[in-house]
Amino acid sequence: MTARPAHPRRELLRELLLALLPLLATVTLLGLITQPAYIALTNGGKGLSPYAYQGLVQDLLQYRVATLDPQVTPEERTERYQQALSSASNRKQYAYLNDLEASDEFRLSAVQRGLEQRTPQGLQRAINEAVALNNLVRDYSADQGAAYERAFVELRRALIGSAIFSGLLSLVLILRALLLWRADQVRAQRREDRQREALRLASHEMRRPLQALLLAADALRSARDEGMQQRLLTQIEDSAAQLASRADLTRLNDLYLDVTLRVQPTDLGELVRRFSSSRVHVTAPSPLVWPVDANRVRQMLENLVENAVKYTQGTVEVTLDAPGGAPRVQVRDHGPGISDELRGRVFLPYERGPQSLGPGSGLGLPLVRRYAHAHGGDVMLNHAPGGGLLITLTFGQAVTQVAAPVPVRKLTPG
Amino acid sequence: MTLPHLARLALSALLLHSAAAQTWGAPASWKPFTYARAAQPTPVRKPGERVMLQLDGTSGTLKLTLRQLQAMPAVRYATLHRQLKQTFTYQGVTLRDLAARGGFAGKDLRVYASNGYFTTIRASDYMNEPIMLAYSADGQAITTLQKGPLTVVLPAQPARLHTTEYGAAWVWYVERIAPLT
Repeated sequence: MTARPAHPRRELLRELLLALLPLLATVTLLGLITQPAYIALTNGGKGLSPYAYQGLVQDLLQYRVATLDPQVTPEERTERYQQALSSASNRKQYAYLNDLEASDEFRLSAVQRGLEQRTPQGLQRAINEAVALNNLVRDYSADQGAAYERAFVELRRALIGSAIFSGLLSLVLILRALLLWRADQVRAQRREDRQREALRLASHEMRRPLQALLLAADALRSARDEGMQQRLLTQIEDSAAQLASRADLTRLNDLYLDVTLRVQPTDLGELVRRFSSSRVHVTAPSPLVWPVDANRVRQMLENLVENAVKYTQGTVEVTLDAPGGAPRVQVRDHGPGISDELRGRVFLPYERGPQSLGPGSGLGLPLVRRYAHAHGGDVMLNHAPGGGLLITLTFGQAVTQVAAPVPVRKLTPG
Repeated sequence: MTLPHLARLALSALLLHSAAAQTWGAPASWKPFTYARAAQPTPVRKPGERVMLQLDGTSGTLKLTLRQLQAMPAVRYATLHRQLKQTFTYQGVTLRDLAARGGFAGKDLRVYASNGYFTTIRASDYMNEPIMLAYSADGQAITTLQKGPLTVVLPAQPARLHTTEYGAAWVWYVERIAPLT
């Protein structure tokens, strides 16, 4: 039976968290692995703009043109000078100026000094220095571009890696869901198999009391004396009681699968003697009281005696004794016996004796063994001395419950 | 009416809507700016007085002297100059008022400097924020060393105006403003 989850809400929460896992893992992973590239990109802003350095060179050149052009008024010349000086003296308008100056010999202060000399030579030095700084920043900018490119490549790799990871994680979760679903299918199949087995056993075990009942009812019609009628009526009552005992649909599991006994002290001798007939010779001490489930013991004996009567022609001897203190029932026939190979298999469900010997479903002996185990004993098949089969049924201390053996079948549905 | 028809209709409605958002309507509907001083009567240019700014509108050119600029409504605020890395309280005329004076408010502007530099300032920026053409810093005329006498200044807020993207908008030595054609 499938157990219902003990904490459905907790289970639901767990499944939801598992479903969210790829999302959370991917976001966390992306956040972590894109961090270096992110820092590289944000620290550099949108890239270095070398315009300030170009602007310095332009201002200096424009001032130089103004000094050479006779058309330019002194005021305009001064304004050009001031503009160039404004750029040459304001370090703050240049990005990465400290880095650039540290990397090489060129200095903005040299530009300012040259400019402030207000001589053609000084101006030329200032222009040369400014052009040099311009070259440095161009290379610096190219390096920064390359760093950006590397950061982008890493970012791309990280994104692809995350996608693969997230995909694999999803795959694992889907596989897990598939396995869970398949386990459910297997459980459902097993449940169905057990129900089918219980119904088969029930129908197998109801057949005999039903036949006895029908025979008795038929005989009752032609019974002449009152004594015979009373015996037949008692037999009908007994059969009906057995039917009721074996067909309690609410107890099918207790009756046939995970056997639960209703144990009470019972005279086994009386139980065994019921099977006495023209072909069945019973030897039983009286009384031999032992705690058993009388109905189940009767079913065991029915199966054993019926098999012996059905598959052999001669007499059948049923003996009850208690050699070691615990009761023992032996059923001996004088038939051909069974092969060693078959003897190993008769306790498996649906295995029957020689196929030609009669109808049956092969469920009797497996059920006998199950009931015997429940009673703390067992059932064994041996070759009888002088030919025939000797079945020994032993009893021990009955246990309350014996689980049905797990059906041997492949664990996949269908 | 089929589904593609409806989709096309919705798309054109969307495009028309965004196009409509580009028109600025009457000056009364513009976002209000806080002025430090209201407009004064425009002084007449004296003989020999230097023209400081030229507004090249579609219908003609308007030349303004410093006194004429100072007579226009003035805004005043403190902000950190992006290239000087120094905070001044600037006073000047908003680009929006200058564009309106030139008859091209709502159009993207090209602002030219006397050293050959120019850049474009988007209408969506100067129509909504009091970006100014400053003529004074801390109450003094702006020197050439401080990128004057006329320099574009962006307000301290919103913060996006101080990102790299707006670095080029701080035009120094401004001498001409024209709509982007």
